[in-house]
Amino acid sequence: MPETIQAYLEAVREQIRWKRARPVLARELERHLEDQRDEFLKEGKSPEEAERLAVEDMGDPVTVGMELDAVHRPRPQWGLLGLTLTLALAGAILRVVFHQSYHASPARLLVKSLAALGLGTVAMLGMYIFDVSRLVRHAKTVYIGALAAGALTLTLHRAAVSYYTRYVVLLYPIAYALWLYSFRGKGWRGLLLSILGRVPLALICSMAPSTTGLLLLWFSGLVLTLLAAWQDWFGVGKWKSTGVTLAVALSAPAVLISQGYLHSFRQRLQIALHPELDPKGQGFFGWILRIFWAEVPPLRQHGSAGAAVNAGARIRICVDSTHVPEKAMPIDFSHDFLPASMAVAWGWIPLLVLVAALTALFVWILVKGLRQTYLPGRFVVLAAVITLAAQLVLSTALNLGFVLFSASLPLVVGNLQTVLDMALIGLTLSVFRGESITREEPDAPPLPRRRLRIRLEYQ
Amino acid sequence: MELEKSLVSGSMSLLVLKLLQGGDLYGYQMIDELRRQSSDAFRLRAGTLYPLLHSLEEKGLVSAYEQAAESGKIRRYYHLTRQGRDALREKEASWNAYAQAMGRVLKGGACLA
Repeated sequence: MPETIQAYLEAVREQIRWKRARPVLARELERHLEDQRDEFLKEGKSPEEAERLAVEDMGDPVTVGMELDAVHRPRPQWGLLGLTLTLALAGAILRVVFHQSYHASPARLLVKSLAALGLGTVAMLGMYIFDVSRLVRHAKTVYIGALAAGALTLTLHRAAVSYYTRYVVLLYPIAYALWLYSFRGKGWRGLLLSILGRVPLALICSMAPSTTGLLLLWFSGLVLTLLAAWQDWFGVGKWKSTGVTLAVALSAPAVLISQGYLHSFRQRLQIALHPELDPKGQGFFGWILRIFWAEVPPLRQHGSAGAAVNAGARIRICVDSTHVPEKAMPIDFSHDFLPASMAVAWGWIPLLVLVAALTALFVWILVKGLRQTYLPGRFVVLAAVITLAAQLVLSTALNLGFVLFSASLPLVVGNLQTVLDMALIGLTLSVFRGESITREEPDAPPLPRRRLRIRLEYQ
Repeated sequence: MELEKSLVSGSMSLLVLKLLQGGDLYGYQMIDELRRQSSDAFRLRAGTLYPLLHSLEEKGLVSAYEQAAESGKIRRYYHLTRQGRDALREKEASWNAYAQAMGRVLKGGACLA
């Protein structure tokens, strides 16, 4: 039987197979042992005696460790991992089938799609075994890192746009969720700083430029801050913090309106709803898509890979032979419109099945996420689901001919985006996997803000 | 009077849930409170309590949160969930039925005439 608290804890730790669980479980036992030791000290025992008696009182460390080990095992997420991998594999196949007509080398396309699937799987599994609480502990570093990554990629141009920034901004809701959590219990200052944290991220989105990123940041920021305010994270009162959050969130569109953006947005919305009003201008893509959708049957009887290639080719020919004005929205027609090409080739039922499967995956993750008792984990899951669901909703709208924001179907369109989406899903699964041992750090007792040093001299 | 261990261990989760019905407690408080309420008859070992608490948490019968205690030290408090309240009601009913039956037998109520 060990005689000191540390030796006892070490003996318990040795019985616990899950390394991540060891320090968490040992901390609780250590606190108990310290309380018990202090009680024996009060009874007049010597420090060594008190510690020995406290350890004895706890019971056999091997039995305790084995019983804790039996309760605390990682919770594997095979179902969600399997569904994600299946959808990502389907996405890789669809990319190869439908992008053939755009690529000079189909073999290279196949290699790139498979490489993205492989890299995405590695990213997902890497995040899956990652300890999310480490991100929470270094929330501000993650936020600054995300900001720096956005700023750096602004300079990396591809086809005259900050191509990579468009992907980096997909991680901003997660970075913001962590930033927000780091101000928990910090009063008005915390509330204001948490809201202000959105400004630099929004600036990066504007400079990219990524309207989708801005919308995503605004929406996820609003939802997360409202939830935090409603739970009175900042300690200034539920109603006050909710009121301030709503006022600030609504002032952002008000600023844009005052800057004269209202007219251009209304025009954009009108064209999105009625692309036929400007078929050779901004409504071009919507107009073309609606022509195609008019011909789409529920299920094409002789749908084949050849038909798919033909559908892609038809859209390409249509685009190539039509005058595309410079003012047309800069959308990569070959990528973002893969779902529309799929519907044209195979009918709308296969596309509906794909969208339904993606929706089921995200709803499954959301439901599990909302059940989390680990608050930062719940916010990370929520931020990830908002990011993925926003892509799904905007991409579906885009492919139906409502061209308002550019977006790619998650896990299906785009190699780099598939890798990012899989990493995001891996992060949410990591929260579920470590559910039984992830603990929220309690707020540290507040330190006095002003300190006065008193020096007493004895003469 | 020293109670036989097996008598206490079988009903440990009932005792813990019952303690938490009165309010949120941390492990050390539970042992202390149990000893006080049972007039020193139930001396629960911490090494038994924590695995039990963690398994109750795993089943959703209790939830836990960390908070600074009155001493200023951080402690992990346990809270009885709604599911835990239902389980407690069932366990109490089952225990009472058992105790009554046991009582009748021990009093020699069963007559084998």
